[in-house]
Amino acid sequence: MKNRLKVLRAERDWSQADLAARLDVSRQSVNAIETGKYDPSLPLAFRIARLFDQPIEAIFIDAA
Amino acid sequence: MNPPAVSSDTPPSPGKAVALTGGLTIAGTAVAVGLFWAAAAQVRERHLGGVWMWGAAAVYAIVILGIAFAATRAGQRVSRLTRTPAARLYHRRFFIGMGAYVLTILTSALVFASLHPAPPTWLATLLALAPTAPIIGVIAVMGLYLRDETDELERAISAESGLWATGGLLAIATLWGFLEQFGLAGHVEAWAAFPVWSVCLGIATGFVRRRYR
Repeated sequence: MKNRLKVLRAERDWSQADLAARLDVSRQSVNAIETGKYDPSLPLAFRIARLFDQPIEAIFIDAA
Repeated sequence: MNPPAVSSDTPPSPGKAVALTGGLTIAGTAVAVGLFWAAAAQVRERHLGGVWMWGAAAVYAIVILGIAFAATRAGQRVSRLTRTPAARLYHRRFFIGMGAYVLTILTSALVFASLHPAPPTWLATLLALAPTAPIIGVIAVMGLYLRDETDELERAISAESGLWATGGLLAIATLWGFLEQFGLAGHVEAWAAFPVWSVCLGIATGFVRRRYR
């Protein structure tokens, strides 16, 4: 699923490792979500949304 | 205005480093196997007896476990994989379990071979169960890892790899069973299931992980 994680991260000047630490996930998870290769679970998507203080649909783009 | 820099992101393709690690692992294992065969031949030639064979096998097994341990660590480092707390605990438990397995299988085999006539049923049962226990322990450790892993991608990779490994083992066992039945292959002991599954798991994990890179 396409998403704006990389942009949001860049705006805050966070590395993937920084974001991973804030979300309490591995760096490879952040990378896989960011590149659209792995869709996070609903709880993790909510954690991401809370961290960036934006609604989920503003971060993840539903192509359908 | 310059866009903000995104530092230390996606690792450069670690293909070369992974291949180098894999190559070193295979080479190290081959050297260890060669040395063990040479040592075993010497022990037989000089009729040094079971204790020497036990010693040679123990050194060999420790070297192999050491290579596996180093290869695991190096593989994670060159792939820049975060080691989650659950994965760390799993690896520690796994190598303790495998160490216990090596000790018990060697001891059981030595005791069994040194007993003439064959040991009574209760002792044979004990000798057979001794190396079984740590393997069941290692299987349980894998289950505990799936329960304890909080990183959902890591858990998904492990679960999917486990299913592929199970499929691989079932396919190999079925194929081998029929080859044996039709006189085309020799007999393989049933305990080979775990090592074969483990090899399948290693291969499957590599492929499944690649998909998410």
